[in-house]
Amino acid sequence: MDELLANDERLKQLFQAEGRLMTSPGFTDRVMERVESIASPKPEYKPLISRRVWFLIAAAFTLLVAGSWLVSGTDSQVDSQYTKVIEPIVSFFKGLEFNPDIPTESLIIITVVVGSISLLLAIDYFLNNKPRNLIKG
Amino acid sequence: MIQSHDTLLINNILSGDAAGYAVLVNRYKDLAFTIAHRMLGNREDAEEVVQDAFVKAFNGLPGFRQHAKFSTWLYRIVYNTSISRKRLKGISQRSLEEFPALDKIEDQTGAEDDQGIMLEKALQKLPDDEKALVTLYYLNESSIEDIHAITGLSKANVKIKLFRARKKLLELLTAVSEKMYS
Repeated sequence: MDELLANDERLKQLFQAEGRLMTSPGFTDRVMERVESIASPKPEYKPLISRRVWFLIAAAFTLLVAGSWLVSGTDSQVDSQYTKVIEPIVSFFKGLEFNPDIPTESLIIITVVVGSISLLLAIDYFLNNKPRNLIKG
Repeated sequence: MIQSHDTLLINNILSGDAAGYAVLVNRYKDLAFTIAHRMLGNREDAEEVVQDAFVKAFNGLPGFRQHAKFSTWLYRIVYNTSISRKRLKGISQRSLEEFPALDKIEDQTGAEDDQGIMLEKALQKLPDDEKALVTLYYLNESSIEDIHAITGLSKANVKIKLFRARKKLLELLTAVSEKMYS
């Protein structure tokens, strides 16, 4: 016990002089990188156009297409089922005369693409909200 | 004095000055690293453990009771994280590192002179928990109370283990120095 106590000071000095190990350079920076990523609040991204607005746009477009088909659809004299649906929409847009230079083919493509997107958005909105509303009751 | 400075820094960090944490990291990283290295036996694991411990401590700052010393709390996290890492890596690896060659000790610890190598060689032959105890006792000059708070061992157990470890270390140092200078 006495021998231990007598050597304690010597051992303390030995540890102080030789026993301290150093971290590698850049250690503090690496810790601070991790700390700062925790400390800084993550930015919340909000869509410029909310889902509700997209739904309204989709619904409006669907209504527009459906309305135009009802208004001018009876006049069309076409054979195929495909053009039966598309023709009234094309004539409606042509009737608006906002850009008489747009070729019919382009109008058909635009109508089909936008119509499909609108339909998909409307279905998506319906599927996402319907169950919640049902639960709410 | 240091404790009140730590308290001030911690209050600033909790008020949003996260950059102030770098001062605490710089102040305690070396001893934290020394404890982890003594327990794990290699630099890579020890650095990872100490990094994790500092991040854990940062996350836990809001719940830190400021009447305790930050260093004691941090070293406890380092000690526990080192134990978890050892369990995760398995004990089998230890047997390979139990008695490394002299040149390996220099590589692992950076010890350059005879006294440093002698100390490292003697320490390598102590069980890992005893290495941590003598490091805290001699290097950090921790009291029995502090070692009890860091390791979670009872005070009586700390006294017994520390007595045994100090005795063993002295014997090992004598043996190593006789071997080196014979």
